[in-house]
Amino acid sequence: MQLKGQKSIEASPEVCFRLLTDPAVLVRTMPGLKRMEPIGDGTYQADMEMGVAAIRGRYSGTLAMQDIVPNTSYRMVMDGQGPGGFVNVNLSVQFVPQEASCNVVYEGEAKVGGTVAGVGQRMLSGVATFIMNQFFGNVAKEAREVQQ
Amino acid sequence: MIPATFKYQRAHSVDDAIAALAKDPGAKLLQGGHSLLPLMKLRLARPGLVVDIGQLAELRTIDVKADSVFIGAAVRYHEIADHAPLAQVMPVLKKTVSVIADPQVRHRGTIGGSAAHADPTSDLAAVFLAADARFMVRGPGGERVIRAADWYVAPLITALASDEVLLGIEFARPSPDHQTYLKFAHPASGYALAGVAALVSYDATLHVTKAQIAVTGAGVLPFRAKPAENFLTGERLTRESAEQAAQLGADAGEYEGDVQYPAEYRKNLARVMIRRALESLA
Repeated sequence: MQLKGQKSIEASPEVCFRLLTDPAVLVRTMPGLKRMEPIGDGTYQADMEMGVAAIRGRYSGTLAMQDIVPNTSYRMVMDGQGPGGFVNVNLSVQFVPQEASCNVVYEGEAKVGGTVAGVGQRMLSGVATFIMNQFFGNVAKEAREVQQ
Repeated sequence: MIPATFKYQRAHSVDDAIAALAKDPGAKLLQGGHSLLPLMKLRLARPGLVVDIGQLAELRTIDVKADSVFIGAAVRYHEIADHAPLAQVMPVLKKTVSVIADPQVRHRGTIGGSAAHADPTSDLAAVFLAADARFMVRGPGGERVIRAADWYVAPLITALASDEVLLGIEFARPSPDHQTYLKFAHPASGYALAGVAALVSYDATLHVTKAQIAVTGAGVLPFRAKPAENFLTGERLTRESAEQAAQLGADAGEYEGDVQYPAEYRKNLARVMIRRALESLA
């Protein structure tokens, strides 16, 4: 499944970059992300509870930030295993400065396998969009708070 | 196909169910069990507590009033199909529930269960949207009404909060004179690849005075085909106007392809089914 989108956040690229690479902020803003423990090299052990309504699973795995260009871009790689299957996400994130804000542009791929994918394939992209919107909504709120 | 361990509680009233939900945020409400139980058996859903509201008398009424129709959340599909006064004032409901899945499902599945589960291919979703249904819900803070346009938030996600119970669904009367639900079913699962609910009124010369059209199954979410409605209103309902409306209506959806059915195929199917539904009403 392709993931692609962008969201304008009213803060400088520096602030956006700082928020989106701060484990504490990610745990607060990413729906379902419960825990991130650093294990070195920009990689974290992560626990997530992902899903919607009836279908909800606990996934554990790793989340890594690679190819970091401060205040400009990075790549987020996630691998998770859960009772309903696995999730792999490989996402490039760019911070494009705007006049008074920052455009966060993401593009990449998510692979979902196992029972979840078999049963829920037709719903995955709709759910992914929903989760991304929630996430960026939360990040925008954090950005407002740090600038006050 | 054995679910993970869970506790079962039969609610004695709606308020009882609300209290149970308040105590355990991971609890799920159970009605006919034809959506939740398969998910539990696949272990995709693992609620620690299942609260059964399928037997509650207060959720099982059908009330046909002068200016509205109310259907309790725990009313089963076959009860809707067999209710003569309801079939008279809103024939589209009977048409729709008669093509849901198979007889076993129709004898257990409930209108409220379908609404709350919010499968984006649900047949009834098209009817709820087209008919501007109103969802009556109650939570710890009291009752509120959610409009159909606000109900479907994302696949399997509704505007119903996790501590609220859907009481029933209300439709305003009179609804348009000519009503149908037409679906192109997935050959294996029977789910709607595209399902169209069309409610249309027209005068003696076939000029459309009101059109309400919604599509389920084809798009990421069920959607209302507003541009088709706007185009049709004032037009004569003919093969040509139906085709033009269908094109505009299909454009209103947002489509995603999967392994079997690319997005263009789904959109085309939406167009074809809107046209056929409209033609069947002329």
